[in-house]
Amino acid sequence: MTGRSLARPSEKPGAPIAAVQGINPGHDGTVPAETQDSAAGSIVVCPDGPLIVRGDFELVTPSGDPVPRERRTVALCRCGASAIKPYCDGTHKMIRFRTEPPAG
Amino acid sequence: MRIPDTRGPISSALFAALAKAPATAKAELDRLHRVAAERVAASGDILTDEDIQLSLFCLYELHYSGLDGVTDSWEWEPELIRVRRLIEEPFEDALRAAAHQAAGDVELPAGIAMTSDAVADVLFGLAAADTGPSVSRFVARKASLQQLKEFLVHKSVYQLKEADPHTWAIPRLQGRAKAALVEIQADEYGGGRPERMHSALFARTMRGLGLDDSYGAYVDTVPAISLASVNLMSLCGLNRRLRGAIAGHLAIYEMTSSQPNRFYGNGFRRHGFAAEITHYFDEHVEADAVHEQIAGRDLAGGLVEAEPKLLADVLFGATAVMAIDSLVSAHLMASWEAGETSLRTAVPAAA
Repeated sequence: MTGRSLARPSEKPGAPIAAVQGINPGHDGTVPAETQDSAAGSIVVCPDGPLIVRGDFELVTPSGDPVPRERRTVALCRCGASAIKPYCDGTHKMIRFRTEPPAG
Repeated sequence: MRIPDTRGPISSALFAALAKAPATAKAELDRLHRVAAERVAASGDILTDEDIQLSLFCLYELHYSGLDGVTDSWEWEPELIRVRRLIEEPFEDALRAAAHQAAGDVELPAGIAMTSDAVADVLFGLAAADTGPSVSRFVARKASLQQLKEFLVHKSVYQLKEADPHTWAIPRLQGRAKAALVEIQADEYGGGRPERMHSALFARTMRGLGLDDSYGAYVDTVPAISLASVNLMSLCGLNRRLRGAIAGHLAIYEMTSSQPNRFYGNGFRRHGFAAEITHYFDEHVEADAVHEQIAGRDLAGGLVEAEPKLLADVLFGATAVMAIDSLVSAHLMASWEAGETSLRTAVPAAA
């Protein structure tokens, strides 16, 4: 409960994803604290897998209606094969989905 | 939890000791220690030894919800911990032997510190290579209503305290690995909503099939190997030196969960059960697709980056759960394909 986005008690409706960072910024102790604290949300680009979104964000349809969401941190399908889109259900492993390594 | 029926001399001696207060149980403790030493040495296969696995399960239970009528002062009684260690050591040896077999030909770069991504890659590779008997496909396509109940009964021994064994590791971790484990566990425990705790969702599914959802209600009916799969988690969760193993265990649990849970849900839908009953499985399809990424990369990978020497234990935990779950699955499938029950006794009706 020290001001990290992960531990904030409330989500601000409508708050946009303020930053898209590289791999694991939410847990990576090597990211400067000021960078962590300035980001309201982050997206982890998982190799050969989904996009993990955590922090303050809103998931909406094109018309702005909220997409049903059961948890704070979500995994968004990137391979297109999930049966529960927009969320990941692990099917990328069955179809051997591969991503290029994200640029450094 | 209600004290189970005895399954042999160790559990008999254990329950005789626990019926008294530690200060007045010296004779019972001496006898328990002697009997345990003899029986452990004589056990052919500790993983499937009914008396040993039940006794270890009950010894660990003193650290969870306790045993009905047993004073909590037994929890840290040195003579009882001594008996626990007497069982734990050969149990761990057997797990390491089974895990070694399950690991197959996994190759690690020697002498190079592994990044968290590389650790996650190895764990995902192990999970993908897990080709044991498929209970989930059987449940999806063929399982009878009675077999669905048996399936829930086996799972209930752990699922009614789902996530608890891994929670022991939180204060033993630091930084990225700790944050990852807390994030996963918060989700397991319902994100602050008790009715959404995974254990509560499982209890709802049990009730939906007319089963007793009180904790430990079916311990007497499940065989040693089902207890061993939970004892593995308690062993790794309660011993700080095995913090790498409990991280690896959770990673493989999450990585081998999403697709099987979809199949489990399909099996219950096939029998006409509504969304309220299948919600436990449907929830795990989505939740564990999140958790497997965090557990593999941030928990297990983050731990290995912080403490490179723990890599071997992470892999031990990962491959031990694969080995034990494979034995549980083999038992279920062998029983069901022979048209027999997989339980020790018939399932009593819910109270």
